[in-house]
This record gives sequence, structure tokens and C-alpha cells, in this order.
Amino acid sequence: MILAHRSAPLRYDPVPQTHVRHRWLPAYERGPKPRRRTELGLLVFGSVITAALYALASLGAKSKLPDHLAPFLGVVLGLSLVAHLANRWLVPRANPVILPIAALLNGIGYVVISRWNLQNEPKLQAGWAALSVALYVVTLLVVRRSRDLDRYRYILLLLAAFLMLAPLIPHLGEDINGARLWVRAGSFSFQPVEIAKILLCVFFASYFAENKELLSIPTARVGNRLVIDPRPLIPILLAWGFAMLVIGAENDIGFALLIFILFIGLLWIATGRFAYLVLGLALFGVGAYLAAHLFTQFHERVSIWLDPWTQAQTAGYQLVQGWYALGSGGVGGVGLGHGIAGQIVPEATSDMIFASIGEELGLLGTSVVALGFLLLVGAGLNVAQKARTDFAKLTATGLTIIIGFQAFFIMAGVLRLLPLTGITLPFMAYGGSSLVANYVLIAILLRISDEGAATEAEQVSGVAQPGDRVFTVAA
Amino acid sequence: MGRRIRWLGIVLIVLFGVVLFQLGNIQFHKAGALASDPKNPRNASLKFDNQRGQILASDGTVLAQSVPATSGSYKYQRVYPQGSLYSQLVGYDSSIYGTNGIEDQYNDYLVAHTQPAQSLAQLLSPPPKTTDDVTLTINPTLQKTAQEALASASGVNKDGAIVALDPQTGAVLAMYSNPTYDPNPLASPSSTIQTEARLAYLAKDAEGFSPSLPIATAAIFPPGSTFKVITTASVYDLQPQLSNFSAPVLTCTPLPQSNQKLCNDGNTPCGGTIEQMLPPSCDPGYALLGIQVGAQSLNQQAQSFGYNTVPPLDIPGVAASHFPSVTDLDPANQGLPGVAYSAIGQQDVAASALQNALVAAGIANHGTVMAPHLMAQITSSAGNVVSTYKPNPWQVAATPATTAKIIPLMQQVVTNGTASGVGFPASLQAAVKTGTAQAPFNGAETTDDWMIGLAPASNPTIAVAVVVPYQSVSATGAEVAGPIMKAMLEAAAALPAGS
Repeated sequence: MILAHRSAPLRYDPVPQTHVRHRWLPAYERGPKPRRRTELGLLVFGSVITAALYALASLGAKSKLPDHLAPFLGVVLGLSLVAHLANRWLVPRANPVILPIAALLNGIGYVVISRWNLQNEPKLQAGWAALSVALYVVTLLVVRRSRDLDRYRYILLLLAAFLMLAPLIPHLGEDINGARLWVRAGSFSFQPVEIAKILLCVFFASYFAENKELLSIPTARVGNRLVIDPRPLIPILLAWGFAMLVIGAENDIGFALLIFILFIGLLWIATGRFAYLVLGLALFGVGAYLAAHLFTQFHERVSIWLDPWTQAQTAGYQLVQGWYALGSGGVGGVGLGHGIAGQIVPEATSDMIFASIGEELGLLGTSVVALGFLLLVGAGLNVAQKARTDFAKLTATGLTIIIGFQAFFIMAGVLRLLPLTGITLPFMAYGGSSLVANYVLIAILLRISDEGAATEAEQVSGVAQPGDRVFTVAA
Repeated sequence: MGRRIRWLGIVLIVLFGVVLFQLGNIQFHKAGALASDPKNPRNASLKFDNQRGQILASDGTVLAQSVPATSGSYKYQRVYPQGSLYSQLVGYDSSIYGTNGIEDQYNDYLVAHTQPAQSLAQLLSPPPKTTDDVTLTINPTLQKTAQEALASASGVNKDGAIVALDPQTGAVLAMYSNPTYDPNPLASPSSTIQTEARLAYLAKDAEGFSPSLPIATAAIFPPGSTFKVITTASVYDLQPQLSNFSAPVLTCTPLPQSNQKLCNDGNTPCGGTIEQMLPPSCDPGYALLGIQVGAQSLNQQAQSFGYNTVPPLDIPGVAASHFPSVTDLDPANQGLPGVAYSAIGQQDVAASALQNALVAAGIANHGTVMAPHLMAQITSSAGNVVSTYKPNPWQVAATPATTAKIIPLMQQVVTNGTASGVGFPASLQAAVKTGTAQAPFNGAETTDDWMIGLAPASNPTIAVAVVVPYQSVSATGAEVAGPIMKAMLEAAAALPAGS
């Protein structure tokens, strides 16, 4: 598919642009929505699984059904239904599996968090889940077209910069486990980099989409050879370097690596120049070398990664206990409510939640979680393939990279395939900022998916849908 | 772009494939080993839901017992009524940090286990699980004396260790180190309390010691002049032609193969025969004697007392003491100056308090070092004896003739030698040797102050080593370790007969 330049869009839209922009709430579209019917079925199925796990956890631990099983199922179904109705109204043709998988992962994560019942984590996490669904709907309402995000890219970049700097502001930021990543207001703390990752992804996608020719076709001359003009790379390298610096100052290697992969991955996908991947690998090597010398936290994590067993009582304790939890779970797990990971493994509901699941639900449970993320990745890339603009394609790809690699990093960290970083397991780990950010992330994915599906529908029917503005259908 | 997105998908499938593979590795292939690993706290949960046997001192004083837990998820919790007095030998049984000390060594007896069948009926329907109690050789009076004597020591810090042995059986009568710790928080039902205690016990004091490291068995220091006992034994046992060796009276002696000088402590002149040099602990004379004896014989004699071997004491974490090898002392390495310093227990020679107590015990027991041990008896909860310790020799260190010559010299240390100012009553028949090793620590000159001793000389029933490391440079073994030795020997003499 060749995409026309955005400054000269092909208009199939009979409705004047200004009219659409000023309509505050979009009209509800009548007619059958088969994808939404699929989604509803999957959501109900997922809610029942979540409630069944919740009941099992209580049966296992206390030999009785939980006190509020029916209200619990009601809340899970209710939250699912709110998101589902918003989808019916705002993104009727979007991919039907993304929301149910996210909701199921969220449900399993919540069962584990409530099962360990550390301080008031379950209550807080439930509140965060409700807020996440609310912000999911708000995102769908505000981001009516993916194009809107493209248009405001520098504002988004500024916002991302502010969010990343916020933890460094005295009295506002706070250190947790050696990383300065949180913003605290009263008893409420937030990890702004979780939101910043989405904004950065949108900015990268927007910039690469606009400059992909410049970034991929040799136009500058060195001697008598044509090479790629390096100038368009400067602003984006600056933005990237700034992000790295800030994250470095906050001592968070996990996110630095995630943003780095996002940047290099999108650059390669936009341009197809293999050299960027090679350059990225080289930069990664230099970065790792510097980090090993500059950040004590990095050095320690690598030493724990290489050999946790000789420091099993000190620095390697968390990882070793995670492995004991996974090993004791075996294939079938010890059963929900029968494990002890929550009392023993540090951060059993956040960094090590994957090990908690491994103990009580076994290899079957951890495999389901890993495959769930893989399905989410597949659905996200499918959305990217069907997206109709370069920007939307790159955004969807970037968001999928975030979900996929974030899940991979923390799972691989627990399994000692990589050094353990403090990155969270999307949708599952305890923590509000992560949950909110990931729901916002899938809202944008569904928005792009809906646009892509609308284009497909047009190609079949040859009729533009009301409210759509189509930039291209040139095949 | 679509092709590259597909490639990204393939990369992610591969990465997740690796995750699934590793999950299979951990949760299937390695699952059995991880689940049954004794350090896996899940095995502790099996343990803490059953009662555990008691650990007792020789007179029946309870050192560790299980009581029903008042909180937490387990049915029982371990308590240590004597607190920090015995922690470094009894150890702990923690749901998070596992077992240590006697709790670790005799875990199989202490945990609930099935007794071997006593009858055909029991073979067909096994009796309920029972636990065994472990009785130690420790004498509570001597243990308490060690703690109090070290606490009132005159040194600039109170870090140190005392080990008292029965030379005839190898039974440990007292073994105390400072710093020490209270094991009760480590056995708390609250994981927070356990974690906090663990961190506190790993913290080091100004001398670099942490409560979690038992100085008595796990730390080694230059033994200084206490080593002259071994140098003397090497003459009588291995180089009898040197028995009549006589050193010139000197304050300092130049060392061959170097331009170094080795001076006597306090810069007073000394010399003469071995018999004249041991009581005043003559450094230059013993250095010259050591050079005559040679690296080979010094090394052989030190090893025959147990140096360079881990003493077979029945707790984990016992350190071997160190004497340089013949190669270390050959002219290409330390050479004759190294031999001279090694003969007076300096330079690279280092011993634990336990090892030095074994040296005294070997001298006391006619040259045979009995294997040290803490367990006296294991009894079932029904009162039947499951196992009794049988004394057995560990090393043959010297001939009886040699020790018969050394003991009177050590008595002279008390009557007219370096320990004459300590005030040992004559009725004790104490035979001791002082040691004051120069030990640079953190850039400052300090001394490791030692005393080893045995009593009564006619038929020794106790052998003791005291070490108080990193004292002021002017302190001596007699001054700092002497009063502790005196307290220990007096307490042992005052014990009722047969105990």
C-alpha cells in the first residue's frame, strides 16, 4: 500500500471536517457489530475465570468461599462491560481480543494481589483498575482519530519530558529501591515514566513517519558517494538522548532499555535500513559498558544475574526465592491459596508476581500468562499491519513493542535469562501507574484498529462511513 | 513496512519461546531439585508445623526448644531461653534463613522423623513421628564465666573469643565469642522481624566483626608467642640435637638473607637455653632457634597440632588455621626472615581460638589432640539414648616425653615468666603461655592478645585459649587475656567433682 502525503489527503468524507471536529460526543452507530459480540463473549468468559480463581484462592487459603464472591464477579463484569460499551460506541470495528486478554491478565494479577493481601494493596489495586477503565474510555473519547496525536506531537514530547523530569524535582520525587522513579503527593505515589513511554512512542512514530524518506534514501554527498542525510536524525537523537539521560539519572535501567528498543525498532521498521539496527547494537554496547561503570545498581544486578546462589542470603535473595517458588510450583502448581511466596519472596505482588503465579498455578499458569502476552503482541501487530497511515502503523507497532518487551524483560528477569530490572509486568503487577498507562495504551491501539477496519470495510463496500476521513486507499 | 513488522513478530515469538523453554526448565526439569532443596523455605513450613527437639547444655539447661506459635502461619516457633550466650554454637532455626550451628548439624535428629521400628507391630503400622533432643558438652557455669570475663576485659574493645576444652575427651566445655547476637528474632513468626535482625547481625563493628561471625571458630589471627609452644615441641620431637641450643643475650638480632632486625618485645635483652627463653618469651632467641629448626620441621609440627586442617568440630563454618608451606618459606619467597617470624607466630601464621585451645589440649593430653566435639548425647523424646559421643583422637601432635618437658616450662610462665603478674593462685597449678602479636589494623598498629593454658598441671582437666584481637599497641597477652584465663581456670577448679 502506498500512502499519500498527509498534506494532500484524498477526501471521501462527505461531512465537512469542521463539523466533525466540533461534535463533542460522536453518534452511536446502529447495526450489527460482530466483533463486539465476540468481545463481549470473551469478556464474560474472562470475568468468570477471574471470579473462579478468586473463589479458589479463598477456598485454598481459608477453606471457605470469599465473603463477597457475587459482588466481586459483579464488579469485574461491570468494569468489563463499561469498557465494552465504550468500544461499541467509540470503536465499533476494533480488534475484539485485545481488551478481553488485557482484562483477563488484569484479573489474574488482581487475584494474586488480593490473595497475598499485603497492607491495603488489593483495595488500592481495585481502585486503580476502576480508574484505568475510566481513563480508557476518556482516551477513546479524546483521541477520536489517531491523526490528532500526530498533530500535537511536540506538545506530547514536552509532556513526556516533564513527566520524566518530575521525579527529580525535590520534595516531589522519591526513591524506591534505589531508583528515583516515583512522584509522591500525600500518600499517593505515581510512576510518570509509565505514561511517558506512550507519549515517546507517539512522538517517535510521528517523526519517523514524516521523515522516513529522508531517513532511508541517500541524499547527502560525501566525496562521490551518496549517504543518508544525518540532519533529520538530530532532533530525534536529542529527544532520545534526553530520555536516556533522565532515566539514567533516575537509575532505572529497565525503562532505559525499553525506550532504546522502541527507538531503534521503530527507526528500522520505518526506514528498512539495516544499518540502524547495527548502529543500535553498537550504541547498546557502549551504553551497557558505561552503565556498568557508572551505575552501582547495574553492576550489582549483573552480578546477581550471573550468580545468585552464592549470595542467596543477601543480594541474590529475591531471585533465589523466586526460583524456589517457581520450582515448588512444578507443572500444576501447589494450588491457589496453598503457596507461601507472598510471605517470603520480596515484591511478590510486583516485580516477582510471575514467580508468585508460578508457585500456585505452576507451569500451566505461567505458560498461560506468557501466551496471553504473546497473543496480545500478535493482535497488536495485526492492528499495525492493517493500519492505514504510516503514523498509525508505527504507533501501533511501537505500542506493541512496549507491551511485548516490557513483559519479556520482567519474565526473563525472574527466569534469569536477563538481569532483573524493576520494570512491571503489564496489567498484572501491583502498581497504579502501570495499570493506567497500559489501559490507555490499548485504547490507542483499539482506536487505530477501528480506523484500519473502517478502511477495510470501505474497500469492500466502496462507501465511506460517516465521521471517517480517509486519507488513502491507493493500493 | 509490513514485512518488517512481521519480522518483529517473529523476533517476539522467538523471545517468548525462550521464556517458555526456560519455564519448562525451571518448573519441570529442575522443579524437583528446587522443591526439595533444604534451603527452600517451603521445607521450613513442613518443619515449623511440627514440634522440634530440644537442645540442652550438659546439666540439662534448655538452650533451644519449640513452643506453640502465638502468631504467624506456622504451628510452632523456636525459642532460645539463653539468648545471646549460646547463639554462636547453638545457631538458629529460621523460616527464612534456614538453620545454622547445632540446629543445622543435628537437624535430622531435631526435626520430627519416624523412629526405626522396635517391633513387628510398629513395622506394620509406624508409630507417630517423634523428635530427638541433643545434649551438648557445654558447662553453663564455664560458658557464663567466659561471657562475664570477656565483658569485663581491660582492653580497648570487648571483641574476642574463649574456647575451653576437656583435653582428655575433646569435649567443648565453653565456647563464647563477642560480638554475639540474640537468635530469638531470627526465629520470630514475623518475617519483618527476621529480616531486620538478619541485617543488624550482618553489620560490622569498628573492628570489622559482625555478630553473625563466631570469632572462636571462624576468625584466625597471628598467634604470636603462644606459637613458641609448637616451636619448642618441634625441637624435642623432630630436632632433639637442638635441645641444648643456647641463644646469645640480645635485644635485637639481625635476620639472615635481609637487612631486617627482629627485636624483643619491650626492647629488653634476653637469650640462653630453651628452658631460659620460654618463660620470659624471648623473641630474638626463638627467632634464631626457629631458623635452626627450619621451615620443614616447623611446618610439620604445626600441622601435627592441626594447622592447615579444618578441626572436626560438629558445627558448620569452622575455619582452618594457617601455617606457611615449605615453599612459602624458601629463599625465593619469604626466606629465613619468614622462618624466624613464623617461629614466633607472626607474619603469615594465623590461628583460631579453637585451634589454639587444641594446641593447649594436645600438650595437656600427653601429645594426643582429641577431636573437639559439642554433642554429648542424643536422646529420643521417650528418653532412650539414640547416640552417645565416643571420644576419639584427631592428631598425634607430640610425644608424652615432649609434653612432660613443656608443661613445667609453661608453669614457669606463671611463676616467674610473662604471666607472673596475672596472679594465678598456686593451687590452680596453672600452666600457660602468653602471646602478643603485632597486627596492623586499618593503618594503625594494634596487638592481638592471646593466652593459652591448662590446669591442673599434674593431671590437666581443662585446656583454654583466649584471644582478644586489635587491642592497643601497648597491651599484652598477660594484661588483657590473662585475667580472662584466670577466671576460666578458677571457675573450672571450683566446679563440683564429676561435673
